[in-house]
Amino acid sequence: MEKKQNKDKQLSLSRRTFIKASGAAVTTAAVVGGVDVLFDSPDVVDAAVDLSNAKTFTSSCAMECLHHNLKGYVVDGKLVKVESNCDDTTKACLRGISRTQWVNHPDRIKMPMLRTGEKGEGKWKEIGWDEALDLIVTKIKETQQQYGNQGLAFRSGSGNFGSLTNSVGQTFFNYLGGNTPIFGSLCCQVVSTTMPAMIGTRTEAMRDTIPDSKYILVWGTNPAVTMQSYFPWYLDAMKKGARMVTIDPRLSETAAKSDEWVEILPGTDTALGLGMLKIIIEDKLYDKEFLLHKSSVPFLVDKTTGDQVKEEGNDTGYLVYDELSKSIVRHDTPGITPALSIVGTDITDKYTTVFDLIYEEAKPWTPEKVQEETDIPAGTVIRLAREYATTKPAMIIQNMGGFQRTEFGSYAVGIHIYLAIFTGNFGVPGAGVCDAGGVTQAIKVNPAIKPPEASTIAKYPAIPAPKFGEYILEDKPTKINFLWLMTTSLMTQFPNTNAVKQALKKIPFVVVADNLMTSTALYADLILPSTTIFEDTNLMASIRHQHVQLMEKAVDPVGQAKPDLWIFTELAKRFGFGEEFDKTPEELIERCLEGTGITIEQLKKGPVTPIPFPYIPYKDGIFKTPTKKAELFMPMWKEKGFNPVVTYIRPKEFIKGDQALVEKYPLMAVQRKINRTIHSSFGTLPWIIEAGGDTPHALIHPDDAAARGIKHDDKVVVYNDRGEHHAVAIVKAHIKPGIIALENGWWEQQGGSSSYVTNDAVEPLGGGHCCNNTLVEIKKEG
Amino acid sequence: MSKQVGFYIDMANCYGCQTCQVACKSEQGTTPAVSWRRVRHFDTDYPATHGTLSMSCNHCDNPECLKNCPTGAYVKLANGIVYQNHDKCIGCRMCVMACPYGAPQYDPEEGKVSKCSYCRERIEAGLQPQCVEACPGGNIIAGDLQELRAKYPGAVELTGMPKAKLTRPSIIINPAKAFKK
Repeated sequence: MEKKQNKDKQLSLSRRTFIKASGAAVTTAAVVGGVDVLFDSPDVVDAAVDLSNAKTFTSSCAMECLHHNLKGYVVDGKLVKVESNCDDTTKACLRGISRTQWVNHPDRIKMPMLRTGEKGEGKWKEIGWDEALDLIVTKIKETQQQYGNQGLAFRSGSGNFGSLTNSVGQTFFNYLGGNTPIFGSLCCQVVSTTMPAMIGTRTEAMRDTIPDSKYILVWGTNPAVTMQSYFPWYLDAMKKGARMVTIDPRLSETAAKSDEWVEILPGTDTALGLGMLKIIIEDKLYDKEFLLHKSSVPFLVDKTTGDQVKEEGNDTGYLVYDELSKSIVRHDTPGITPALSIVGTDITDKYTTVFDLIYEEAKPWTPEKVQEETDIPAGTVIRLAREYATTKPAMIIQNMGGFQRTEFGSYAVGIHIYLAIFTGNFGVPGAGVCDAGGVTQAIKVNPAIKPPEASTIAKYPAIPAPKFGEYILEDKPTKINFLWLMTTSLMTQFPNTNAVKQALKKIPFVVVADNLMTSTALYADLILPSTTIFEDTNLMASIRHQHVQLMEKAVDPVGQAKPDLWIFTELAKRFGFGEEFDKTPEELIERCLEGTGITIEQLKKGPVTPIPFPYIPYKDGIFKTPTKKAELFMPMWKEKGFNPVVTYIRPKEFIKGDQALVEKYPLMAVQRKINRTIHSSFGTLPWIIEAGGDTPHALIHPDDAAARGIKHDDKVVVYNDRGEHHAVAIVKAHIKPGIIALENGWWEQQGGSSSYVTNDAVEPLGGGHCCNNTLVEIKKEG
Repeated sequence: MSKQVGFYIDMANCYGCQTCQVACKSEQGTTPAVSWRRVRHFDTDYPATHGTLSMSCNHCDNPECLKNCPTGAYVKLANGIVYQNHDKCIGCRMCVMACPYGAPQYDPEEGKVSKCSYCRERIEAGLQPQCVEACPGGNIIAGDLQELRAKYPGAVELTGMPKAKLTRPSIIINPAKAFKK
């Protein structure tokens, strides 16, 4: 199978081009640059890190990123160096390399730690594992007796995508009989709900054919930072003549590399998209054949019910109006010419089409009206629409960007897909709506632990993740008495951090399993020291990397740190259901891989990919929906009382939204990701601090700064009714006036997260996170 | 003509990830005060532009560090590497003051200065310098300066950078968009 190798230019450079030093003892003289130079350097130069006796192990950089394959060097039982493994297709970044410092961090938690002072006070005593585990058993049983299993909550996050990590925790709670879920990804919830409903799946990697694209519309995302290892492929496309345009309120690192930076007001992306769609429809720039045969837009909609019309008793038997026979027939009837629009036919009293409904939403969005709503000049809107529709193949870079962490993010995700479908930009190299993907698009990986019978797991109403603080404080939907957190840090990621902090204080028993004293561990009742990569055996077979990877144990864990698998196994044994858990990691990995055709023996030799290269999702426009067509009408939105086709709804926490709020807090804040962390992971490693600093920054336009007497490098406070975020000002015209950019992921110990001020609304269509619709004011500290 | 190694730095393609900077630290074990390779920002406000340039020691043809070192700690190797015999460093910081690029760096804990060795030990083992190896974009290329010049056109100085004629740095920079006329 052909594999793409990183096309690094240095590979073409022969090692022979280096000239070896002249050697010790040789002392010669020469005249270099007018000075006498002695060549008297020692012959043998020791490397700073002596690897002559090193053993090497491979693992995977396991948090919510691209899961690069890493090589760790171990000398005398200590991890001394980490670098990219050459078996990978792209290269690890500064964070992956810094894993050496994570494993060896002086602040690693080495023993279970029980709170002795007030919550958050930082007073602890070390206890043994038996005591810790027995205490957890007692607390779980107490909760079950007093509140039922509903009183138990569990949340794992994106700190480790290994197969023997998060799913083991959830399986444990399932064996207990269930728990109150904390629902919704803070990152990409509305992509996860919208994209599969429209095109059948998500997390299908579209990156392989980026260099084939002729027009790249980077829309509210910053791949130069968040997908950085393959960002060179974007630049390759540009070198081959592609035009790259970035839509962002900030001159992002990607915008800086683009041909054009389009400044937009946060939360208005759907208005721009509808305006582009209007032009594409009215100028007939759409791909009619693609729409007729690969999409649901000809499907008839009953005007009375507002539902799509289907053949009786057939879930996929949607009906269309055939222009040839002038009759209503099934959409998949051979030889028909379905009508996109039925305007002018004699069935309009009873029916409309999805196309007509979509056009109805797009029609009001004249370029002038788009300009008014988004601040993008009307001429730019027209040009973007024409360029995107006519320069093929064109790719929209969605990548779970900040545009969808807005109040109606589902519609923003939807409009990207609409634009791509209307222009036929799917299923060919260089086209599509780019998402991250991984091996799970090709193989089904089994859960590590055999799950209990589904009927034994109670289903309880969920706490929406963005409203975690409020729900806990108000005992909604129930009182939570016990919370287990792993691979996540609520205190840096969940919005409205003050409410989160109060919630963690309120819950009587909070267990945090982690490697370091995270911002969230500060508010735990019991901290369990868990292992990190290179300290345990795990499997990476996930949604962010095209290779299945064995994560090898390279060193013994520090102190008494234990793998999450061990922790849950010991607890499961205490509860009497330990049998399925009590297996070696290798046995469980074999279970994960059963039926995939991949064996652990293969993985010991190196990563294995089950995905062909280049991978083209939805090849030839065959989608993975029940109809095999792109379904642009969303019954699930209608069920929630919203328009089933994409429409624009102005956000509430927005400069043109709630004017009483705008008066108090006239600036919009957007959250940016920075290269020093993945969410909050890596944030306290010394090399990361050296490279990326130890202080949060707030980017503000010179005009907004001048109006507030703020100068570059001033200490500032960003605030609203939810709280305060302390930062240092970057005063630069690298952001649209009226907007400030805050940095995601700073730890409590570094001054705290920007999430202290972020919007904790729940996106109503998909349950998403709305942090990029946040109003604030900013002032000089002091 | 004596040989000279050098770096080609593709600033136009660099997106500032700083992997080179940390890879260097990981390889060389430098202390927190010292980063042999650093990524510098070149930004303008009107028009808004952002560029990043990765730079370490430029292994100059006319190295000011070497000329100003009172103990002779710096030598120019036959392959052109400006190499510091760390044992000979007394921490006087003459080189720090002399170098227009800020390449030699003082560690107050150790009381000595150190700088990029062009990963001499890796070169001698037939490997690439670690920054070159680690760059995800392939934007740092090491090799014989003459051969690099033949292959990659570029500049030796940009607006705001020290005049190349001072030390004749062994670098070729493909400037970022904003620096291209």
